[in-house]
Amino acid sequence: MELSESDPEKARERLAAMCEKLLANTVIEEYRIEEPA
Amino acid sequence: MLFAVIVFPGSNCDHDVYHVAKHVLGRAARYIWHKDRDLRGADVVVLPGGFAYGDYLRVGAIARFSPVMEEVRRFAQRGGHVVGICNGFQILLESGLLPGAMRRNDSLKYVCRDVHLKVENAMTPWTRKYARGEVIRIPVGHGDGNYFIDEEGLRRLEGEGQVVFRYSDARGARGTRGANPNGSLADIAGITNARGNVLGMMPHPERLAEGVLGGEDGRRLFEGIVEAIE
Repeated sequence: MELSESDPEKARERLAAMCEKLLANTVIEEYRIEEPA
Repeated sequence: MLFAVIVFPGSNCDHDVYHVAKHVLGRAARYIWHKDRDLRGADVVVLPGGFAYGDYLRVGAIARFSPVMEEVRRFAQRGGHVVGICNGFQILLESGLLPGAMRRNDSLKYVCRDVHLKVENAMTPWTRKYARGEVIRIPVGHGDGNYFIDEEGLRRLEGEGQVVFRYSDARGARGTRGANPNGSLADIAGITNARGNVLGMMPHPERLAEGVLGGEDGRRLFEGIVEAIE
C-alpha cells in the first residue's frame, strides 16, 4: 500500500481503518501493518 | 404488496426472484438498481444471488458499499423484511445485517446441486408455511457457502432460534456424508437476525418454486412472507 501521507502515525491509522472497513473481514481474517524498512 | 429485487452489477438470480414474485405469487415486483436510494415503498427487499462485483476481494465485500444498502439497512432497522439468497446472504454478512462470515467451500470447489434442508424454526415470518423438523429440497450453487461464526455467536444463534435451515439428509439426519455441501459450521444453511425480519440463506428457494421446474418446496418461503405481511 502506498499512501500520500507524511505522518507515519496517521498513515497507520488510515491503513487500520481501511483494513477494518473493507480489506479484512475480522470475523475470519487477521491483518497486520508493517512499515517498509 | 411489493417485492423490491435489488440488482447489483453481477446479480444473476434477480430475474428468477422477480418471476416468482410476479408470475407465481401474482404480486407486484420491481427491480431496484444498486445505485438507487429509493426502495419505492417495498414491503419485501430481496438481495438476489449472483456474483456482485465479480466477487472481488471477498464475496459481498464491495456490494455492501452500494448506495442502496444504506436504505436497505434503514428498512431492516424499521422492521422491514429483507431476504438475502446466496450472494445476497454473503452481502448481508459483509454489511453486518447478519452475524458471521462466509468462507470458501471446504471442498474448494463450486457446488451446484439439490440439497436437503431441515426446517429448524417455523415461527419466523419467512418459514411459517413450513413445519418445524420438516425436510425440504432446495438447490444450492456457490463456491463460498461455508458459514462461520465464533463460539459465542453460535451460542446466541442457537439460543435465540436464529438458525432456521440446516443441511441434512433426506430423512433430516445430520452428519450423513454429502449432506452438508460446503462445510458450514453446525450445518447452517440459513439464519435470521434476532428480530427475525432479516433472513439469509445459501440455497435458492426461487429455483424450485414451481412443479414444472421439478419441485415446489421453495415457493412456501415466498408464500409465507406474503401471508405474514398481508
